[in-house]
Amino acid sequence: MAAPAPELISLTSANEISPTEVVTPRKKRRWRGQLGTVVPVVWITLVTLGALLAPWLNKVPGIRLLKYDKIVAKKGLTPSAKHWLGTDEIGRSILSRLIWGGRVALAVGIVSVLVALIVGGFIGLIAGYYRGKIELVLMTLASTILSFPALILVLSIVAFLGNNLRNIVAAIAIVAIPAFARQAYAVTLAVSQREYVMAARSLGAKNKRIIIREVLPNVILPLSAYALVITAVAIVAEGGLAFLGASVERPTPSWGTMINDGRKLLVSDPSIWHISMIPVACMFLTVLSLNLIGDRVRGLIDGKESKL
Amino acid sequence: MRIVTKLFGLAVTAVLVSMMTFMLILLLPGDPVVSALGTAYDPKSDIGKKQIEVVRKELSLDKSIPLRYLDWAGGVVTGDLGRSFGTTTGGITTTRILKERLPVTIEVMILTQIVALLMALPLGIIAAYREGRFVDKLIGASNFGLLAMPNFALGLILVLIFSVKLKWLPSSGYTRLTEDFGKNIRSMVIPVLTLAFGLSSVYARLIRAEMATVLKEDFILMATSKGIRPWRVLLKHALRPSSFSLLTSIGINVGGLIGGTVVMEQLMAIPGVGSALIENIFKREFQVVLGLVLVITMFYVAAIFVVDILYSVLDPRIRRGSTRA
Repeated sequence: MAAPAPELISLTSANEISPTEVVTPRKKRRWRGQLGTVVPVVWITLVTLGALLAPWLNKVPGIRLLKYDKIVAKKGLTPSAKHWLGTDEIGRSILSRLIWGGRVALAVGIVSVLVALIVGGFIGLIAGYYRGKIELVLMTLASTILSFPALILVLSIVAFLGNNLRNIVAAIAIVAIPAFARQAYAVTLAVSQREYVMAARSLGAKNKRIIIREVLPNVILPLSAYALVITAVAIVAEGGLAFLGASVERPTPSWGTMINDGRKLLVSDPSIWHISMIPVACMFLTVLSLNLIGDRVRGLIDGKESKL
Repeated sequence: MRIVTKLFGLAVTAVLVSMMTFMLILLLPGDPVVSALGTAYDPKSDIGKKQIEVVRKELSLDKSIPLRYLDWAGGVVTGDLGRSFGTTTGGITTTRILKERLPVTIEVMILTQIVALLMALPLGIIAAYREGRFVDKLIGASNFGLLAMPNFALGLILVLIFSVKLKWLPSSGYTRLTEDFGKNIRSMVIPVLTLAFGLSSVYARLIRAEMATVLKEDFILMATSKGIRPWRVLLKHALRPSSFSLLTSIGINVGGLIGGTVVMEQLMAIPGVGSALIENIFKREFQVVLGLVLVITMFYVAAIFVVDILYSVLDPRIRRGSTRA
């Protein structure tokens, strides 16, 4: 049976691009310039810092980050000098809620993905290096899980276990594991055939040493480029969960719940469309930035590979 | 011979998928009997105890898990996908839910594929033909941007523009094809466009990447030097050998969209399989959930299988058993 491409979430993802598309890094640099990497990195850094430091930001003089459930002004105010991004449907500051909501995105995007990267990467590495029966069992299992619609799997887990942040993070990690396993497996297969691995083996190195010293360092880089793309997919998945009514409980803000709450008002009161569209923009910029950085990292790895 | 091996692989996958679907049951916290009975019984009374016994037997909960799986799988093979226990709906079979909901989702899926291909083919071909030029970069950049747009966000923007501001299209709801053709199409426009935009950016990138390589091959040079017009060369000579990863992706998405329209169905209130699944997950109708998840996943597995077979039809090199270059 032909192996289906890794498809974490049924949302289309950037990783479906065939490897025939080879762009040398120098050509690429002229293409987009450095700005296309610097701006995304700055944006991701800002979002991450804001999310990490949200509970303490208030103590910094000059910053007035409000608690996410504090009602500060009239509802549905449009952006102004006082409330930079306006207020939402019950009068809470949208900017403050976006920053607090970044914590959910961060948990889903970093914790889930890191867990999946480590577990899935390990599985793929073992399957790709040892081949044989282990390979057959592990990879059949992985592709079976991958044939389930990912968002539905996440939703089932979350709905049955309860929709708190811990379960959401766990569910996304579980679903992402086979995707990472498959990716790590494919890279390991190629790396295991390289000259330096054979050289190490002919020198009498043990399997464990070869895996840790020779294979792992060459698998981890492409895998982290993949992780950036999956981070974006995970953040979108949280949004999907929110639309299905299974993201974090109110009043804890997440970008997904903010979009979903805002859209309910969109049809009845179109004048306050900014309530849903500002978090949409925020999520879009984050996903775009992650994809751009991922693309760049992949380009750099390809360049390094072709030099070898 | 090859097709026999593939059919065997398909059977193994099908069994594994059904086993894993069944294992979703183990996720259930609490007593499924209680959720099946709902609140309409008193656990302390004699009648209540008897009810519990009956339901426990009916759900075969008194047996071991492997036996329960075999029972369930046996039912599935003979076309019994279980039924709901809901007190309000009063027990609908999963098959009936599917009969009602599946055509809607399939309509969305087919329309999405058509629209996505209509958008992606010209863009991908032009981008490959003008590789490295301005048009190529423009198409590439806009596709990259579209990829970063979550489909619920895109759907929301389309609703804002076309139904809230311009009032051209309904903001939600669905009219059956058999009821009113015009209304049906109007209710499909936003969901289909939303899904197709995302999909077409994937398709266009695949076509561009593969065609750019094909266009550098000798037989294309040959065709061009014979004086055949560029458009003819692109469509008659280059398109077929450039469509393999596209075909795979279409196959994956035929299956993937059946389960992937969930969010869209929820956003636009379309009564497809996805929204049936959501309703039943929240009503804890786990028999129905199992049945629906199984069917959706089987669609995916079957679509991949068909693509696998189609490969050999499209590519003579595979048909003869040699590997692709």
